[in-house]
Amino acid sequence: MALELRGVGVTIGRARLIQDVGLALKPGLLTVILGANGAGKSTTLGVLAGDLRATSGEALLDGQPLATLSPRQLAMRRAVVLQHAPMNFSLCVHEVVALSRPPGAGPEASCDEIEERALRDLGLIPLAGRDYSTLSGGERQRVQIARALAQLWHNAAPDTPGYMLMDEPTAHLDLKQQIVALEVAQRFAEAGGAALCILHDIGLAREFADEVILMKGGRIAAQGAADGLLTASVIADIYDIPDQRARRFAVL
Amino acid sequence: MTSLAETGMPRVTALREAQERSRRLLILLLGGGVAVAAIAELMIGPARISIPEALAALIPWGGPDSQATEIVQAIRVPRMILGLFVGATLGVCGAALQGLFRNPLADPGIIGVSSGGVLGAALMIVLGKALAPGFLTMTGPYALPVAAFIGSTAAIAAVYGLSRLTGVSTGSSLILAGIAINAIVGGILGYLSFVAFDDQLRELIFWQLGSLGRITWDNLPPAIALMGCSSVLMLRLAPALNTYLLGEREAVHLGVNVQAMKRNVIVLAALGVGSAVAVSGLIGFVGLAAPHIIRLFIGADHRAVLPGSALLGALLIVAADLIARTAAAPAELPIGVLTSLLGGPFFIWLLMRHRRELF
Repeated sequence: MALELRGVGVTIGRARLIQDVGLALKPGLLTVILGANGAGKSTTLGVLAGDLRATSGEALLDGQPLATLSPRQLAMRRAVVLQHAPMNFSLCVHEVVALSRPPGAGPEASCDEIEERALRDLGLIPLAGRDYSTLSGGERQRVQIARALAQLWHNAAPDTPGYMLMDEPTAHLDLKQQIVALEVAQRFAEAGGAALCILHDIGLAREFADEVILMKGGRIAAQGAADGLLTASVIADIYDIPDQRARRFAVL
Repeated sequence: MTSLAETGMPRVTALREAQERSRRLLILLLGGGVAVAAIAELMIGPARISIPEALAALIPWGGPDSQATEIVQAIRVPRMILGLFVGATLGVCGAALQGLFRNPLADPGIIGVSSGGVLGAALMIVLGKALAPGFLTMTGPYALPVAAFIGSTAAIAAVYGLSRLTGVSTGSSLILAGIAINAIVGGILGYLSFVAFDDQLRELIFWQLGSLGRITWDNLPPAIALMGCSSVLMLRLAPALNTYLLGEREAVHLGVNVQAMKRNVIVLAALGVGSAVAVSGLIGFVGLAAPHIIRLFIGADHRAVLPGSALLGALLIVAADLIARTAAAPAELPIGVLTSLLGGPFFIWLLMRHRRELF
């Protein structure tokens, strides 16, 4: 059971976005990807989500190639939170979360309960009736996370909560809400799911990640537990910054 | 709020049920409005007909043997049915196109889909007999709807392609693509009017101004069959259109087959608008106004917006037809002239309202 990439490369035109990327998202773990802008983090997430086809290597969801699964089949096992663009037409917050319902979902009451739980986990109950387009960027981000959670809860069997992929879920959030968002991911992993977050905050990565993947120049530079990995010299190398500065962010 | 907490009902359930109640109420009100307008359409005209007479004449192949029955059955019923179907189709197609382009300014008229249909019909009128006489006899009363459908499909595909090239999310690129299509169509129509014979010219003008007045029992059934198909099938796309509001990638992540949905919306909108244009000519702005007004009351959920727009579109067209027939009596205004005069200012208001998001 895993969502994994084996030696994956993505080439678009002449641009090699990522190459030789190998990783596995395993149930029970919260994995964090760190890396400079343009290091290939979002491309990697795109392949895992099924948006981008690997031009080399293979991408597998529980052993099946991603490319052979339909959007519907994928939606039952993985949810994605992207950095979000605004909507021209506005739905209410509870309607956005209800978009997670699969066609032919069960009785309304049980769906409502699932969505209520997702909204509550992200502290959104007071906003449930609000027009989505009137929310702040951070509030929208939380609604999207709630929507993704509800998607997996609607679909998944209890013993296989599925895979949650989030591209900078903490962008636009204040410190408290960053922690709330990552606690949600952590609880999701503790319940047997696999979560992946792209982050820019080394402190948050250290606090929440079970596994850290460091990317540089389209490749994985290192991966492992946060404590051993995030040393001053590695951070200096990954972000291409002077050692003195890197030391302030490193694991002491 | 406290009462909700006490009853233990989830907040989302309470919100959803309140929303469903207000949607049902609006649908009921609109349905009543459509019924009233439809009966008025039977009663009002050069010959005044009372409600009992009008209703009595509705019994098919029966009713009292009178002049009133004759007028209602031969002239006003087909016109009323056509008005209902054209209005509903334009409303549904407008709403679905706005969803597809995620742009509140998408209207079959503004983005060139209607004029594509007019071009198809015009080419069939002027060149059809000369170039493809077999096609005309083969398809009978379907010839114009089919030609208009082909024209609408070509226009919608061109607009979609053009707006993709320049970024589909911005309102301006869509409107500019529509201007381009409308300009090209206008040029070709101008040329066709130039080479047309007098009787063909009158037909062309009818198509460009729009009117419900030329419908007969002979050409009604194919048109309403096609419009009905388009609208009913479009309603089934509502959940996918809802998800698509989040964004294209997001819709895929939620399991929607986005490519199939786009193709279906395009084909059904071209079919609906093309058939409407083929029997009633260019009737602008209903597809813009109806969905917009509906959204003001009940939000953006397409499961409510599509049927609501159908009812409001039908109401608007039948009401506009009543005005068109009575305002300058005994002459009859082309209904397309009327909807343009009313719809233009509405479009300007919409532009002002959305200027920040769109440009």
